[in-house]
Amino acid sequence: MKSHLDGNRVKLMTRMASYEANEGKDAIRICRFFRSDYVVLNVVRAAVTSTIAFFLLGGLYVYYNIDKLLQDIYSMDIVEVGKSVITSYVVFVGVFALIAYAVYSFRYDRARKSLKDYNNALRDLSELSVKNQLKG
Amino acid sequence: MEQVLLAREYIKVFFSRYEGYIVAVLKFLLCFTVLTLINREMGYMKRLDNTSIVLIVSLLCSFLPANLIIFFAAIFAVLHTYALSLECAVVIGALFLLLFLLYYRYSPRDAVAVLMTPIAFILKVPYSMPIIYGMVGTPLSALSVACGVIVYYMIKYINSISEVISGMGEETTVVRFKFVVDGILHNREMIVMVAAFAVSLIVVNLIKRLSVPYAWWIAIGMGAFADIVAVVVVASRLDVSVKTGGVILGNIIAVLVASVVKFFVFSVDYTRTERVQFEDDEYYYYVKAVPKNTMNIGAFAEDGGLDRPKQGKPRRPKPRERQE
Repeated sequence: MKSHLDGNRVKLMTRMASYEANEGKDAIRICRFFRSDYVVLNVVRAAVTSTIAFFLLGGLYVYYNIDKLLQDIYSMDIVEVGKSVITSYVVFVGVFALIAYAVYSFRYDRARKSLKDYNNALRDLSELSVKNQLKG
Repeated sequence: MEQVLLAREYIKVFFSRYEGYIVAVLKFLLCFTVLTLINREMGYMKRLDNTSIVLIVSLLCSFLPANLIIFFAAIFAVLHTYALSLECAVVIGALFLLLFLLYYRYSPRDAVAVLMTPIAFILKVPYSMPIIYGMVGTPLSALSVACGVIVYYMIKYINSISEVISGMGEETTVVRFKFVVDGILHNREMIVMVAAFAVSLIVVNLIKRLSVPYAWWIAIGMGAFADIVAVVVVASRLDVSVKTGGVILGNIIAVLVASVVKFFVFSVDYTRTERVQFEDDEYYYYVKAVPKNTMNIGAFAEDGGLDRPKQGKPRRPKPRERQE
């Protein structure tokens, strides 16, 4: 009995399935987004995590210097302290947002590059299917 | 040499055939080792210092993603330090949380360095870590190894002050907290190791990328040399006493360890047996793709009962260039 299986097509589909399951897993997930959406979403996440980290570090700093702060609380310029805290916060979160912007832009571009071969394979598969239909 | 090469091919075939089981066993062993070492080194919470608990968690981790081992190791470390003192637990817990929030979110693949570095210190082969991570990672892996060094010295410091901190019952929590933080921040030996490891790792990583013959072996040698120089220079700058003989000996051992790792891990493509499923309009396909191996391992196949792979040219899937 003659088999209806096309060897080339099976090989191509196997390689594509392997890519989807392994190295292409992240690339396919990333490329479901538009570039700007993906990068902005991750910058916002980085801003949230760095805000948590800032308050954690701030809490540890205050606890470490609690004696000194309690002594100076009536003599310190609250407005100046507030300004310096806000400046530190903006710089801290800004640095991490910038790092996130660079990292996730790079990852998106790398994922697009990686998907190029996969998309080519998809086109080849489509052409093979058309050829098989014409033969049939 | 031929025997060693054959052994390497044997390992390759064995790995490609039983990859699923081997990875699970390796994760189990890593988790078991890490948790046992934490219990042995810290062990302040007696209820947690129990082999049954370690076995259960290790079994669980063998089926979960590798990064969860770090999560469980961090939980164990925090619980043990909590049994010693609340202040120690706060400091160590805050450190783990900061590491996660500020670094490992972006680079989860490097996270295992924070486990492996303290293990390397306990096994007396710490200098091999920057060389191995220089080979496998990027220059940014220096941060991961540095975090591992900080975790190790933090645990070591907490161990060294355990009796003192237990005897500080009458002091306020703020005093104890300051005592712990000061000891960690002013640990100059830790700063020396962080700086030396960073230099060594970056040197290895930069040299291994060069397109010169034996670049990897040169990188290993130069990494060890850079490590020795960095330790001596930074230690003299910070006025820390180091045993130069010990550093040199440690780096010689590190070169040997890194060479073995390079030979068996980085020189071999452990191409895996793939099992994939897909379908088209007419069929469902369940495909098992077995990689071809090139070396004659008939002797092993006869003795070990492994399937003898087909002989042939090494074929690796190449990126398909579309010709327009």
